[in-house]
Amino acid sequence: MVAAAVADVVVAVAVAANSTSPGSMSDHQGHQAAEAYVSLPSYGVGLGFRPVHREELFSHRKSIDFLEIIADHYFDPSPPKQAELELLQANFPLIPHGLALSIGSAEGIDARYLSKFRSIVEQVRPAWCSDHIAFTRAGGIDIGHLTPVPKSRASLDVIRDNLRRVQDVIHVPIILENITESIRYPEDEFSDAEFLGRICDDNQVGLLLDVTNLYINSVNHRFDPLEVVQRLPRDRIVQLHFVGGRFEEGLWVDSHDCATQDEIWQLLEAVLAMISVKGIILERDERIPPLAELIPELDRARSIFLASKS
Amino acid sequence: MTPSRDQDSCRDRLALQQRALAESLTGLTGNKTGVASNANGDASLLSGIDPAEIARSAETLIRKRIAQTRSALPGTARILGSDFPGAFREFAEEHFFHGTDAIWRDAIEFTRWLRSRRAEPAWLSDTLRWEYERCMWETHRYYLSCFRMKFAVPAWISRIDQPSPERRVQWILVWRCDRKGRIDIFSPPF
Amino acid sequence: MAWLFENPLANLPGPAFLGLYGALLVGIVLFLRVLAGRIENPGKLDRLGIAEALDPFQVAYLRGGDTEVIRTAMVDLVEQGRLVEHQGTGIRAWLQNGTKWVATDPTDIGADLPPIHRIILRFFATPKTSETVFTPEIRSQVHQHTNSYRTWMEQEELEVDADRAAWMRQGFLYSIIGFEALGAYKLTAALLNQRYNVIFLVIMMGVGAVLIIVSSYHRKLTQRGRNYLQDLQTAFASLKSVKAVEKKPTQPEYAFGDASLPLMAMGIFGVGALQGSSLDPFYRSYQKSAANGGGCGSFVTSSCGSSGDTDSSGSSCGSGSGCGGCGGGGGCGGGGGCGS
Repeated sequence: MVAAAVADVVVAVAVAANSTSPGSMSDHQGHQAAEAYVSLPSYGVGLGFRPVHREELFSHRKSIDFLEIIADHYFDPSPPKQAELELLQANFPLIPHGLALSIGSAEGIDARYLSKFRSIVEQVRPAWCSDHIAFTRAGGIDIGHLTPVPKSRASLDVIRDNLRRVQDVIHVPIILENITESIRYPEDEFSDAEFLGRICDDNQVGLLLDVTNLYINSVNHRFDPLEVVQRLPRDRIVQLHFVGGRFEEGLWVDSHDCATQDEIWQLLEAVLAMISVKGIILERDERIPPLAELIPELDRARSIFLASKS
Repeated sequence: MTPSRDQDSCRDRLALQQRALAESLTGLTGNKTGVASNANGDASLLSGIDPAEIARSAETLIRKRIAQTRSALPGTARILGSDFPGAFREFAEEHFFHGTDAIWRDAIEFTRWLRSRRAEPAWLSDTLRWEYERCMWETHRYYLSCFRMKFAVPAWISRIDQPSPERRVQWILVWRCDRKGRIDIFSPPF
Repeated sequence: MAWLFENPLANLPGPAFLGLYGALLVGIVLFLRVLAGRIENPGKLDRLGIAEALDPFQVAYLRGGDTEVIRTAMVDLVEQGRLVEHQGTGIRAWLQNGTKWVATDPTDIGADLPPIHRIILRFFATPKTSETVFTPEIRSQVHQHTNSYRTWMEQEELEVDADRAAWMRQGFLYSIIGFEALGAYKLTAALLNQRYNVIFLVIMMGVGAVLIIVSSYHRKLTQRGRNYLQDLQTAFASLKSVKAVEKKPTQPEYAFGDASLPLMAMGIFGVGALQGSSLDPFYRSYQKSAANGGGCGSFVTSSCGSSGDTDSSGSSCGSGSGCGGCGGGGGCGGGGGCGS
């Protein structure tokens, strides 16, 4: 009880501090940002594109409404990669998904990475683009792995400044994805929902809600995922990710290497009953099966998506 | 202290904490990255973080590198089999690469590292050379190399039902020039 | 008439004239490149999406016109066992009669087949060497049945419009005549005035002619057409080697409808894609015919219908003006590609 009360006080202080922060958005700006995300096109259900599926995409076009491409794979592309990008662009709506903008990096955004990311966005001209709420670079080390940031005011400041830098050069809406919290910090000042909500409130940014990551965090760190969703700014949740995870050594891991589990389907369904999104992506990264084996998952997601729309 | 100074000090601390974490996750120190580290000495930066969580994240990272290198070096992975992760972990103790081409650099340096340490089976050397060249071809806009192989490794890599490559002397010319390129295989004389 | 060679232009000092002449050449080259760009990019700029069910013959037409359609139809007939070798002297058409495949009367050949296939089968009703199929008569017959492909290419602006191509020819003609005539005029004037240091002018006339010829080059396909072909070849890159696909334990699920894998590979990449595959003999016959300038090798087809446990063999090739199997994007390429 005492701990909860202390936490509430901290949150209240944080809210008060933030409301006077020079960097935060006014209500009017926040309203405009929300409207901007509501007016984005609704794509439906798509796939995180992996080159191994390139040849099969065209036999399953009806099941794939759009594709999410890993932007990093097309930086300084070789001729075959450039041709692949052009092919995908000609045949599907594309959403570039970055892996290493390192929005949470206290040392700032890497100018070279940002420039490459921008060139992909300019080429693809997507409705929106995405990256993660994480840092991948610190002290000159490019970790190559999404690492969580403390849910603190310092992190919010860093994210705000970094996002401004990104939005100065990338002129399409940006949405940020929640990652699995492999590391928890003693400096955490906010709950998951508060932190995500504050990122949206402080910046013109939408959310890419990874339902699998949300599920994994909720089980590993014991909280109610739907309560988190309930407290998020729903008009800012633009896109969802889902895929199967793995239970290893007493913990769920976002292995991205298996079919989506029932628990995650149930969460996806519950989330879609609460919010309306523009697109859902199946994000399979490892042990990638033939595309035909993923189609039932896409179809199931589509039926949930359509049911939520009606 | 003014609020902005307070903000700056929070940010500085966050930067140092992230740096300390990056060093812990990658097994690197400031000396290895070539950048003096202030974070190293300050254990308090990571205090309060469960060491098991850091260890798990570091393990995830190394597994990711192993998986990526394995897919970049299919022939080498086939030869090493279950020894591949162990060999890579040994290699990773002293090597870490940054940037968008880190996957390829891991693969390139791992083949170099292995060549100086292993000789068996007889076609390992050819396989490492072939896969090294392939990675170099992938990562360079201009590249030219010519070498000799005693085994028909490329054909063997694409045939999972073939236990070992045929013994066949081949000269391989690898070239890539700007936006065009391929690997051509010539049998001697060429 | 003295004014003809006594005027400011004729009397212009050599270096000044060469400067002017060079500037004119640059202007002509720029004009021709802009014109070529205009005719290769007529209007539609968006890329054409890949059709849900691809027609190998339509793709073959895009890649190489009637010749590639004929060659693709021959691959189809070889696959079906309807074109086979005849006693080592050539190839001929076979028909299924009940449970057996037999040589039969040309008049009722292949009634169940599309018209282009029938044309080819009728042609081979009597044994012939395969290069003879590329005759003007057969081409003309096939041409009548490729109208739908031409209409599609026109509508989608995949091929350079004939009228626009005519502009280019006219532009080229006027440019080269004008440029060379001016050079010749100045040369004559110089020689009449007993100035013989004209080597730079002569060189410039030669170089200019080459540059004008090169600059007036335009492709048969528009940029949109080339992009579509590139997209097809990227989308189905593994078909560049049918051999490699055939060796895979499980083959990808392609969007080919009824078309077989070798047929689609033939349509998209040309005969080079068949190297080393089950239709390798067809590929080799093409290679031989190309090497021999129209001669014809032989190929073996596997079983012939229900009675055909035995291998039948036949020969076929593409030759003559239509030997463009590698056209449009590199069907024939030796070496193991090392794509990413």
